[in-house]
Amino acid sequence: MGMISKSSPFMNGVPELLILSELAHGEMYGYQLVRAIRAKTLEAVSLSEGCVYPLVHSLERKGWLASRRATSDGRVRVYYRLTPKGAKRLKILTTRWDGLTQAIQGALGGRHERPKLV
Amino acid sequence: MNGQNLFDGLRRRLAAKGVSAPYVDRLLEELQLHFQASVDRHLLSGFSSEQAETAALARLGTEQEIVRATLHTLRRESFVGRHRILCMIVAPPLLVTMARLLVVYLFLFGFQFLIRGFPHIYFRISRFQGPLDEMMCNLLVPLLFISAFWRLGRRKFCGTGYTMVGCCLLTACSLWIQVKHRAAGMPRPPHSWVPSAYQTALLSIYCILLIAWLIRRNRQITA
Repeated sequence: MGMISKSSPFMNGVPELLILSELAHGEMYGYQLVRAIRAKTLEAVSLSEGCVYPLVHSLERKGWLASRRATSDGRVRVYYRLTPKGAKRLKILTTRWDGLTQAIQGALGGRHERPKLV
Repeated sequence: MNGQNLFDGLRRRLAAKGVSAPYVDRLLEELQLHFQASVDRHLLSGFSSEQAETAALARLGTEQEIVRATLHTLRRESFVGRHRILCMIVAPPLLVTMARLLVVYLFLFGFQFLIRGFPHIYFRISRFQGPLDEMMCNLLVPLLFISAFWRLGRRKFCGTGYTMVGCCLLTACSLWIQVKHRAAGMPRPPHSWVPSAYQTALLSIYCILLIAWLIRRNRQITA
């Protein structure tokens, strides 16, 4: 499968959607979140792991995520979870994404049909 | 490059770009935690410590990528960040002009008009228009800068670089206009938009203070 980098124009809004949808399953710390995204997208979406944090912080500032610090196995970890506001946002983004993908699939399907000659 | 080099470089570059120190600290702390978790994971997979560190660094991304992503995300959060040309170049002169017009010409004039009627008051006001204009301009410029600082200080990201460039341009423009006016032997028109020598001096002081503050702040961050 071809890899899509974060700078690709196709990626606009995708990392946010992926982060919110992953956190909808439960709280995660940064490394766990990045690994989950990579595994779920079968490594098709190539995000530099360091670039995920500014985005997560931005979502937190918008009130879509909440964080807490905890120590696990002697390591400090920052856990993120989805807030009710974030869940609402995820719903909106998912609906938009579904609409967009259906429209594009329809357009691509239409392209393969041979035009009728009059 | 090893991990520490990357984090030191990131701290320097983010501070130079005006990202606030507490946010840089937070970001770097989380990146370091991530890096450590990634190294541990690779070590468990049978990598040597050097290989594990190299692999973890490759996954984390380059200094340039992380800085670009951070600035892009922070800029996208604010209206000023999304419309930089509009807010830093087009809006300030427009806003100052509009504020002067609104406050001096509409508010004061309109208020007086409501109380005492148009023609009589117009002449009364016009006698004070020059000093009022001066006063408004002298109040507005500091207010503009104070509000910019207050606004930017509350944000995690400070666009101090842009503000500084804006101040310097404004000062340079007003100095140039004054020099041109003096050279042509023209007196400054009483209600002109051309800043007076006093206003230019004020602007220059703001610029110097701003630059000094920025240098001090950067020194604090990178110390």
